[in-house]
Amino acid sequence: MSETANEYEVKAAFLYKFASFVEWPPDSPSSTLCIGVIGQDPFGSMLEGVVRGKSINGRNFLIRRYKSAQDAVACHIVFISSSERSRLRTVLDGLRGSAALTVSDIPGFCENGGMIDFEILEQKVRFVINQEAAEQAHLKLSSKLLNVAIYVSQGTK
Amino acid sequence: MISALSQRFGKLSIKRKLQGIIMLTVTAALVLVCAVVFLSFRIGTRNSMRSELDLLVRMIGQNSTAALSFNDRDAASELLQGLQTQPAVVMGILYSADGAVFAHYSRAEMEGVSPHLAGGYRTAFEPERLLAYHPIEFNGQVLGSVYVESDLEELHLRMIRATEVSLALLVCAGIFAFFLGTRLQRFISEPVVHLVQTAKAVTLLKNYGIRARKQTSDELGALIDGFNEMLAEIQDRDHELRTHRETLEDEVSQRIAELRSVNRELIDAKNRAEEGSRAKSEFLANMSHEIRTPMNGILGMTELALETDLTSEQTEYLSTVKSSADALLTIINDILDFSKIEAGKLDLELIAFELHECVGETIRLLSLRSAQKGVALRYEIHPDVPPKVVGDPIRLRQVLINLVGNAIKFTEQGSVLLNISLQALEGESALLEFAVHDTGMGIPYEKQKSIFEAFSQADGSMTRRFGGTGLGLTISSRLVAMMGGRISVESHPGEGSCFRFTVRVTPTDEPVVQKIEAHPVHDTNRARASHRSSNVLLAEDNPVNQRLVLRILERQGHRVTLAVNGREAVEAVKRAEFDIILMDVQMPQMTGYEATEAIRSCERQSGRHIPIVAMTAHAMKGDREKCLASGMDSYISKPVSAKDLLETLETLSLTA
Repeated sequence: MSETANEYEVKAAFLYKFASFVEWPPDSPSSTLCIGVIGQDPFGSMLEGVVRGKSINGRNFLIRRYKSAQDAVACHIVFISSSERSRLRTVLDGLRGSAALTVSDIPGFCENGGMIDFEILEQKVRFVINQEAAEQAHLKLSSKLLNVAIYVSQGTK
Repeated sequence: MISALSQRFGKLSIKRKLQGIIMLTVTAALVLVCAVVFLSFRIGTRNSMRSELDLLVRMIGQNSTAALSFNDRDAASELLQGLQTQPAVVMGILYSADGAVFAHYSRAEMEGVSPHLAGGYRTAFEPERLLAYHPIEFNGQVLGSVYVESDLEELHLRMIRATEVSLALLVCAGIFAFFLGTRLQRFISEPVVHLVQTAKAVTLLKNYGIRARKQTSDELGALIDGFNEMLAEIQDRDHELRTHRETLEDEVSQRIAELRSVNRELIDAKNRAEEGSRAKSEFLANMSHEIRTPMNGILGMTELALETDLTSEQTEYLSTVKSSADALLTIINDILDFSKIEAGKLDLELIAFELHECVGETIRLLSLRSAQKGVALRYEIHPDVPPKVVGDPIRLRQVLINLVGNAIKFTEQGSVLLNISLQALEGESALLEFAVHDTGMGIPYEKQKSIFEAFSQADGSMTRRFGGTGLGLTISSRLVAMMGGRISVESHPGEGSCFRFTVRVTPTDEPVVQKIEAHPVHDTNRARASHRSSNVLLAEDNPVNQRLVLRILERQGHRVTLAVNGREAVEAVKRAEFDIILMDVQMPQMTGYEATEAIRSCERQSGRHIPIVAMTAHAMKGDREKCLASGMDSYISKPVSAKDLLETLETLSLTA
């Protein structure tokens, strides 16, 4: 359990850190950086702990929890909890058209149109990136971020 | 050290000096430039190396943000492996925010070398390394830090390369400067060398027409101009001097010519003067002869007449004639002597003679006169006085006769004393003093000073009263002076006088060769007593003299053969034998000298030697020498007195 807790602690920190390597479209809200969690929240208060006192380029973080995807379209980063596995396609469809960076640890997330998929490799939290999906949402992912990903599925363009 | 260097530098030629200066300057400038370039290159290189490393480190930092953020060590390691492209980098280390090593890279050989973190974040050169240690900040968060260290191989290599290039540049530039300097220094050295060569040529050839060639119009040109001007000046001076010298030579040769002509004139004048002087001497001799010949007759005949039977009145008259003739002869002799002395024609003889004999004979000669006057006549010779001396006995006797004769003449009663002493002996010569004391009338003081001057007898009346020319003392005074002595007088009127004179003679031990006296003074009576008959040849052209001599000799019982000239005399000698020949010197057809020489040359075959006595009125200097040189044995001077003649005959017939 402590291992799981530790895993989600890292994932929480990653969620926060992704913000530094992503460039959102200019029309997205810019006063705060909103991290939303859809479905059953696995982080508890960890997210709040991670972002407390942090800001990027003067933008403070805001943590929100949502039931449906439609509510989360204004968020910058959306974590889709594994509780939403069965309804994943619906959730992703609901977020289509928004400028949210979609992150999840549901296996096959990227194949289903998600952007970043957490995986455990050699007991470490790693991630896979679906750059095509990110480009469709007009997000620019830093090359540095791409460098540290396990795998990047290139855009089909 | 510096002075030695500058001394060596001073010996170099101007060409070498210029080359040296150029090379030194160029080298110094090049070295300075190279040093500055090298340093700035080094500084620039270091700066660029530092900024490169700085940049590298920053890039690593930037690129490693994601790896650090997402704790991706593989990505970080991969990133650091990129340092392989930088060969200078020896190690690169990424540290996470907590200081742990996140990723590490090091060159193979640097494995295990620990980084130099102490000293904090920096980009700095440190000994043997350049390092950069910087924090990695991302969005206000320190993600970790990066450390990169590179070695200085590159720097060293670059510096070596730079040094090589600098040296090569230095050498190339030096060689270039050398060639350029060698070419350019000629602009300065060539005119100077040319000037020196010109100066040498001028000195060597002594040609002041040579000029130095002007090549530039700078200071060297001015120097050459000045040199040429100086040469021109010298040439001008030279020319002037030569002209002057030529003029001078002309002047000198002109002067010499003038001098020569003046010299010729002078020689002519001298010859004429000597001719005149000779003529005068000749005239004097002739006068002497001409006067003596008649005097001879007068005196001889008077003597002969006095010996015949006469009345007392006739005897008195003839005695007066004789004394007058004697006086006249004395006067003539005095005047002749005086004029000879004045003309410088009188030369003293230097012959050895017996002083005692000379003085004794003089005194004996004069004792007759003193006895007649009743005046005592004595003489004393100090024992110091040398017995034999070299001097002129005839002139000494003349002075003695004059002074003693005067003393007798002016003494009425009392005595006359002749005192002879040695006054000084100086080396070879002796100074004899003769003092004649008398008890006569004395000489007034005012007259004593001028008594030795010519024609100044104490009183005009003296001549009238005592006779004489008054030349006796003057002649004595001159003779004494010629004999190296002085004459003085000391007198008190009424008490008597003392005449002193000194004579310089040379004492000698030589035997006295001249035995035959020119004026033999012997007692006539003694001569008569020892007389014997001789066969005499008389060569005489003058009838008066013939008769005179004939009578004198025949009265003495001699046989006389007469010859009227030299030739007859020679022939007579060839025909007959003679004991003695009396030979007049001046005769027509053949002179006495020539006749004597002829007789002597005849005698050389027969081995005989007939004594020949010259009879001459030539009372001039050199007569006696001439007589002796022609082979005569003696001579008597005219006018012939019976006494002299007989005495001479006596002496010669005894020695013959």
